[in-house]
Amino acid sequence: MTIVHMRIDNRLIHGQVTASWGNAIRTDHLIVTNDQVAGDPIQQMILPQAARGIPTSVLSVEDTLRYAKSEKGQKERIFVLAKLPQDALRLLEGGLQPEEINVGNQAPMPATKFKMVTHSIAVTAEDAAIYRAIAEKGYRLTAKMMPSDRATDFLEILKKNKL
Amino acid sequence: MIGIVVVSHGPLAEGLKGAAEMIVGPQERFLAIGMDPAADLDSLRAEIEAAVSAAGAGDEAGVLVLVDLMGGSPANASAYLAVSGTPVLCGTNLPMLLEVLVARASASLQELTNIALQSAKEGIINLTQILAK
Repeated sequence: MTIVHMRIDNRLIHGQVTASWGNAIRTDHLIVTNDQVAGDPIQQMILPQAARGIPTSVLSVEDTLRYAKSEKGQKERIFVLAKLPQDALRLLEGGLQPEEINVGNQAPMPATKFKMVTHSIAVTAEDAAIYRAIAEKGYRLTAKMMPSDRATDFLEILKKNKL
Repeated sequence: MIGIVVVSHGPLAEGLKGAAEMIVGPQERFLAIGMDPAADLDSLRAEIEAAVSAAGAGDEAGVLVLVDLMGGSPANASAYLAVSGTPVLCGTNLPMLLEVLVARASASLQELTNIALQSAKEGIINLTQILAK
């Protein structure tokens, strides 16, 4: 199984992903991972359309793990788009080993105590703990808006923001 | 009269609205929404749906939603409206918007949808090639 890229982005598939990342990363299969999104029939319809040509699945965390470990999944170069840091951590705990992990957008959730650490990434204290748990698994988390941007270390960003 | 809601990444929608009104004058039932980079999909969806209600309030003619980019968040957040029957068109440009604003007082929603799709394509012209003839 090759997970060429894992992106954490609660805006899921959108212009940045399809216009820049889809081209920059050679991928056979885009998997959007989140239990709630996977259960939403409209998201199931719109997201593969939004991916403009990249074969796309919308799966729960469990189903993503099952697929990645399947015979078919083993042969592919998979781009995983995890909606939330929790989803990403659960995927890693389930055995996924992405080549890189990048934090895309995390729009603030109403009624949470968040801090905007970049202009498009909101982080709560709970989120910060999850990002650290991801890093403790040996990953360097980056925050890159576009594939060509310089990779900023996300834990450094959290530290700077006292999170 | 059919209401129009334009939705974009950043200030494009407001810019299109301003440009269109510069040409055809101030418009009623015409709203623009520019998505903030930090917007969350659910609140964007709520904002679009509120604008559609406002643009169509008290008129049976319906509302046409014009978004900038297929696959972008404005389009994805409009998917729920699209599934429930509101026409949502992607790839909005100024030629499309102008045709729609001019035709919307007399056209049906289906006719206006067709006008929009056609004018968006016809508005893309290689001027250099035309002048070289």
